[in-house]
Amino acid sequence: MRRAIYFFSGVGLIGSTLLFAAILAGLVHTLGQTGPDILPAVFSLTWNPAQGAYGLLPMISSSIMVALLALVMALPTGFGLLWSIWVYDNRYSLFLRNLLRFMAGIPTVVYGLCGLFILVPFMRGLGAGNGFSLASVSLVLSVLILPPLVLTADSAVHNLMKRPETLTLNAGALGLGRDKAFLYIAVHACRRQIAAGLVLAFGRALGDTLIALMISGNAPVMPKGLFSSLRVLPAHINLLTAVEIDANIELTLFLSGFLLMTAAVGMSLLSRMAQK
Amino acid sequence: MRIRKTFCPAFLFAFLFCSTAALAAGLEDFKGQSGVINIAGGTAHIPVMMEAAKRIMQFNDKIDITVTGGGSGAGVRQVGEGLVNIGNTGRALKDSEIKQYGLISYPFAIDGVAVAVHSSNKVSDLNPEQAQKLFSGQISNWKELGGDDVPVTLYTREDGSGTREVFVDVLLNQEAIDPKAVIVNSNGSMKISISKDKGAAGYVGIGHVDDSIKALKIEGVEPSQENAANGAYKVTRLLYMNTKGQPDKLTATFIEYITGSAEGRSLIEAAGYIPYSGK
Repeated sequence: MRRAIYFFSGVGLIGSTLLFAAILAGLVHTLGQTGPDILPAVFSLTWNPAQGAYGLLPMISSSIMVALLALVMALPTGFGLLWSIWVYDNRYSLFLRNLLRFMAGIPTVVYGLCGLFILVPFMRGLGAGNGFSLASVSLVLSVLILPPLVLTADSAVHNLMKRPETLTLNAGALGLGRDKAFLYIAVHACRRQIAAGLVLAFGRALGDTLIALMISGNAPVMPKGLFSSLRVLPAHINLLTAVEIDANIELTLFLSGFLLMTAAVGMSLLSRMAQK
Repeated sequence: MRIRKTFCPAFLFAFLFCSTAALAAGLEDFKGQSGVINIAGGTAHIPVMMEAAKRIMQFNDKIDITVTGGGSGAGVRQVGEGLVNIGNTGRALKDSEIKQYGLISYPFAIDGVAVAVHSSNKVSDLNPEQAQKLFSGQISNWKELGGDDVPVTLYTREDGSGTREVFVDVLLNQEAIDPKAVIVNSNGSMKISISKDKGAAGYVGIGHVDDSIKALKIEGVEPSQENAANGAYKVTRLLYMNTKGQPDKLTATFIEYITGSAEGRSLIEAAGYIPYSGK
């Protein structure tokens, strides 16, 4: 048993290290081809390879904006779901929990498709630009990240309130109803796991490729507002890997990959720290 | 029961036999040959090359064909330095390249691009100046072109797309497309996006034009396969295969299969291009 654990964690560790090393090697290799003189152009605001502008900053800031906004949008819904699950502890709560588990398994392309066919025309109909926008992407992503957001907190609350039933009983003895027990005791006691859920959800929103690719519009510019088009890092990689590219573009791809990988590692560490 | 058991394999065998026989038209020339063909270069060529490679390798497993991309520049360089047998380009070779490497070109397909708008759009004809203004973002409403009062949404393809290259080089005369344009990454998603947006202006390969969108005339010329083939429609380019000097027998057979056989033509059409008959 223990051997199996060592073996599989070894495989996992080697795998992720190799991936990281491969991206780093690619980055160093392409940087060797282009020379370091290109770096100021890479960290600039304009993307126009035809005229030697390889600015990655719009993509970097768009990624962060999209993920943050998605998180902000998901928070009220997420909290409401957690509340419904725990305060009304009945079969509907069970249904909600199972629904969230099911949602975790929906392929992102399905979200993207619904976004493209329903949300984008709807937003355009509202007169909010052409519909491909920061708001559209964040809205769909906010649904996508509900399962990690809620289920992480849910399992923590479960440990606290269900086994043993002491918390519920003690709170009841103090005259606290389920709602007060949940709001004032459980949420407070589980704040670390809730924070970990937030970090995981943020990471999920940051790393998603397909939804942004389908409904963000992918314009490589700084978004000027909620309803303007933008391009995130994973979509940037996806758009440019299938086509003719020069070494400078390749550099921006490896750099994007490196940033995303670093962000993923950072998020994972952060969520571990939050849970301790 | 007994009958079914024997019938099934017999049927399967008959089916396999028939399908192999049907596939063999055009592939016959590869019979008895063996060896390797390495292909690199233009990305627009890849669907045609891959499908041809698959069919040939299924027909004769002694032949090995590899297909990689890299772009027209890489195609010229690699075939010139003898690293691959065929280097693909989406443009005619420069004199310097022909001189330096001694390359021979085989054009095999016409890649045409049509301006596409929503099917309800009243505009049906553009001239190059209007197209340049439209796609550079200087025209923001369709009424400026005589259409309805609908704001324009621009759709374009990703950097490095062959379709985008033809469009920008030939029709827009290298005028930059508005950086705020929505970017989609295939002809398919371009068509879906346009069909959902009354104000859309985008472009697709001619082979992909269908009823879901409206393809605009350019100076009165319909972007049809015929017009692209006879040269009346100008927003086109040729796709070339190139070899260093005379190709070896296997490579020559491959080129003949693509350019000369009925099956080659159908592969080119399936990829959305027009077979080039040579003029």
